[in-house]
Amino acid sequence: MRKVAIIGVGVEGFRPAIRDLSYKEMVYRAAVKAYTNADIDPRKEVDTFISCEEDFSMGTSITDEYAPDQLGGAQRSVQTITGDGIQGMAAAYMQIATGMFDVAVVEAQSRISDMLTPNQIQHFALDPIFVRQFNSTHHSIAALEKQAYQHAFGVSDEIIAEVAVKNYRNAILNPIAAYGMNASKEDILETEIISAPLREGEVAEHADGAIVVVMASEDIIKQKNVTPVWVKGISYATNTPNVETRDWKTATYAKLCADRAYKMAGITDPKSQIDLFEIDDTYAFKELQHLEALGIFSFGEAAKALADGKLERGGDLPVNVSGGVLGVGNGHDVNGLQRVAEIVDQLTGEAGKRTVSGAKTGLAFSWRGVPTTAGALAILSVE
Amino acid sequence: MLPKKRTMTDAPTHEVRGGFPVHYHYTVGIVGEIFFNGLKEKKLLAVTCDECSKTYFPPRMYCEDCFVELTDKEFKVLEQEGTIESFTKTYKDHRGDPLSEPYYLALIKINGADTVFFHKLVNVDEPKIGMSVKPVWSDSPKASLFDIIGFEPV
Repeated sequence: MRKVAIIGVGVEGFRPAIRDLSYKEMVYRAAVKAYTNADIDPRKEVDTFISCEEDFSMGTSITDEYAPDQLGGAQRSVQTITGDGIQGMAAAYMQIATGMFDVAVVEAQSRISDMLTPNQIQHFALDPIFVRQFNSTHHSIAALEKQAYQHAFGVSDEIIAEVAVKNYRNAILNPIAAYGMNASKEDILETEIISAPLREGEVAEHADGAIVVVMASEDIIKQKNVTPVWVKGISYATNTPNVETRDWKTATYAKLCADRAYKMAGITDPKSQIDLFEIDDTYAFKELQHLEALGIFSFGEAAKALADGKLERGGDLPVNVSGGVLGVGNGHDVNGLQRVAEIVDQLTGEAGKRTVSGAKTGLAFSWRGVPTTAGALAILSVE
Repeated sequence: MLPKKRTMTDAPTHEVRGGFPVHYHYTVGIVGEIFFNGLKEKKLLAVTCDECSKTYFPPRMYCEDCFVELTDKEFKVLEQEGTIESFTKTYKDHRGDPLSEPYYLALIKINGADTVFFHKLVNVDEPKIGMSVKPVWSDSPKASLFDIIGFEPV
């Protein structure tokens, strides 16, 4: 199998609402940046294009039909994956590693601000027979999970609020982040209750934006003046979608992803072999729950590491230096590529004041949000 | 000539609105029929997988762990008591608008089941994980999820 690397990333956004660019113009802008970074002409050198988006989010049935041209992909091999951008990267990885293609482009985007009824669309994702008949917000599913997690492992609202404080603060230095701010723990704890114990301040706000990632085989990379970020491990997994049988206390899907990706990447001690972590924090408690499921901490111990400052940019195990989904903004299927974009910036010396010194290997983990138990993980390295 | 440079603060002068109504009737299935007809008789019907001994409530056609069919098994009546596995007091409706009367949703493990049941809590001030609860039945059950009005403390 051939080695596969990311050779260029382009980002447009993120903003609470992008009102000047159409969705195609937004993706086009991100694509031009990615191709310039990758030193690639999409009309001549890209073999396949993978777009990660869903009809309801985009407001068009068979929305994949509208994906090619803004990427430079008209008249080419194009596929759409209704899932996270890292799932798209996994498909690209397989297509390149097997020798089917040399260069693949992965794109994901968010135009949530174009949706006039975003809450109804998320509510519509709930099981229609056993869950959706209760006309409550979809966030109540996350609230049930937060309650079960806190009760099982003794994690307080105060420490969960500190996740949000850290990530909103980290986002200040990230030019692609929509929600960088200095907020105190008290600020978070005083926000409105959506579904107790879940508050507004610990739920990632929506944002618009697009990310395009160019991936290539080692053969192509030898011919280019680029810094390759190697995909060492990549995986995706679903626990069970059913509320009756899923795990409510721990993020089993994250463990399933980690088991596979660690094996692929030869990771036996993630704490010492990985230098920084970008982890889904769509709900603040998820950062802690995910870190534990990924085997970085034992259950209930992530909160202690946070309290000790270990998860800060200058700490032993920096988590969400980008600001996470809380800080960058929730773009749903593009969230995984947000995580990847930060790791690529960090490993290629493009992170400016956010730089985690000496970072060589990073882990990106994304979750597909309520009501899913689906995750995707990538281990990226310049070594 | 350079294209006109626009900024984020430029408000769009034109936008096109669109949408469409989508409606479905969802089929509950062979085992769903058994479950909902049970509710009509104020019974909680469950099914057990012989291979892993997992008891499903609500019942299923197949065990999702073993992938074996359960349709031919005996559907057993569970006792009308369970415990709260988790709960939330929800303040927003499905549109994100405030609920006029916030209410409790909970995951309830009915005694004898290995799965949880998603439903409301009623007649309770301070629910706790581990609290014993029982169903409050409608006076005129009609094979609906809301034949159970909610679960209240025992």
